[in-house]
Amino acid sequence: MATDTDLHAEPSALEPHEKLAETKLDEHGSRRTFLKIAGASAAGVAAAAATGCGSPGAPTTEEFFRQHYKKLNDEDKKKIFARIEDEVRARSGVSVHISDPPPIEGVDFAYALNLSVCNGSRRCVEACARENNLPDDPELRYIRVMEMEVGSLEFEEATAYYEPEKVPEKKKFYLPVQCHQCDNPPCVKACPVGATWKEQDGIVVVDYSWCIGCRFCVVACPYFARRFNWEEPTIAPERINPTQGYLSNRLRHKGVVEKCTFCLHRTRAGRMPACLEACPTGARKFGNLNDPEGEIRKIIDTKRVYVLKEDLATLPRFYYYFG
Amino acid sequence: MTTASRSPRAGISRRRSAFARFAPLLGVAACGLVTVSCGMGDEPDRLVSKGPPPVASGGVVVSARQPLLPTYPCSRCHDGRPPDLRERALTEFHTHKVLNHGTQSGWCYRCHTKDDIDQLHLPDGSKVGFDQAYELCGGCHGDKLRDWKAGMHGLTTGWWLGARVRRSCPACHDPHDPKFPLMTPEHAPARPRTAPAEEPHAGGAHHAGEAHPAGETHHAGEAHPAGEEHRAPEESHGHGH
Repeated sequence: MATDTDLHAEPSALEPHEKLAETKLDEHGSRRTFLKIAGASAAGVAAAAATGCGSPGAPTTEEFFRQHYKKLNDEDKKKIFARIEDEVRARSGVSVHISDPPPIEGVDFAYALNLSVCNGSRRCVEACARENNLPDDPELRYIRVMEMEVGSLEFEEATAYYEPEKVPEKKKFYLPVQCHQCDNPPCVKACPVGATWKEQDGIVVVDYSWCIGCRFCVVACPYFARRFNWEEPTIAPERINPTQGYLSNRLRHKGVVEKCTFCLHRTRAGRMPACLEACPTGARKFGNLNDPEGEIRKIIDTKRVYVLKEDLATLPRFYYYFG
Repeated sequence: MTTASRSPRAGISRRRSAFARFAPLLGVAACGLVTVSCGMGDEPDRLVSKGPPPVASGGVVVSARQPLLPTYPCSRCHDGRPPDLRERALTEFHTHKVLNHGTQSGWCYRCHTKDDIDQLHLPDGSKVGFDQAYELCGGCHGDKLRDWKAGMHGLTTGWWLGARVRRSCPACHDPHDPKFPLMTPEHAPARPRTAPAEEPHAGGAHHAGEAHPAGETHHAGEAHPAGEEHRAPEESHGHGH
């Protein structure tokens, strides 16, 4: 298969555009097929190929014709990371480092959250935003903290927009919701192009360069955990976290879907997620499900644990408990 | 990198600077950083483990309490002063201390030790240092101590694969007034934006008549006649909510 360099070197050797697209695109084919069905005309492909880049969010020619991320070798990935680093430098003047730490053998990540002590201070929400380069305009946050009535788990009567002087309020408890990294993820099934998938350690990731912005996954998620960039996300350069993961907190563009990744750029290096470290009450617990001495296993073994919407058989890896 | 992400926790420390509180922890975290970094190198590929699965945790470091006490060692002042066992308002020293810890918790020397003021003591009389204060707390709150030791209660940060830093009880609960303080929450999330076409309706301008200067006489709340020109905006308004 031809590489990106070949494509650049011989733009004159263009075959009919449709055929070119077919030869350059992934054999997996689902993305190509979907684009055809969705009406991506040969003219559109030609325009992309000819100009190389359009509006700021548009994929470059190289990006458009590259293979699916899972089929890239390390050399290809390095090139892509370097290109993204250059793009960020040009866009915001910030030098970032992009990497993609692979899953660790024998590790299955899981999260537990103690509802007895969560006080709804939303420190996790903001720490997550800083760590994962979430835009402030338009504001986008991965974690939603629901204020619930004591004695009820009725989400219809809960609100995420509570704003009292002080928390916790009497007769309320707080239930943060973020991506549950389901073992049977409906969002992954909904994606028509394979831009989102479940990794070996349980984290569901999104390739923002592969996402076509159809938002099928957003509506498929029963936990409202996915966010769509309706507008070009903006973030002040001084707030950009330069340690970035390709599949987690690198800067996104308008028109792609994103979500919590358990801070995989941190957690796959052995660290705790940012939301956990910011929690003032210690309500959040994270670790390896396969570690018999770890917190997660102790909690599952000894506490009253439940998951949200268990009846949907999504098999979340995000456990709530009291204690 | 590690230090920057560890934010001082508002509402807990009232008297000490964030640096003084966390300096020892940062030291511990830095050690953890060194340990783990050495084991893994610097390339992204390093993280694929070569040996057996790292299923076991890297141990737990309990945060130290003693270095955070501004007046430690207590004996510096208390030596030579006879212990005053009376319950009274403290007007001379420790005036900021409020004892609001259960109703039968007793006075100072229920936990502090009369004849060895630099240490605490358990209900059975055996002495423990301030760094092991959790053992004293567990004397009454045994269930919490059990959960804390297993990592199910309390704040544990740092590394899930490496040294965890676990906060001792007094790091979050003032021993004299242990109820976790109320906090000011971060701002509420932004509500979803409405479509621009709906915005003129937001202030009720349509019903107030401002949008209809030419002879329109509708009043707020009045039912509109069946004119098509009114129905369309009403419908779009309804769909927006």
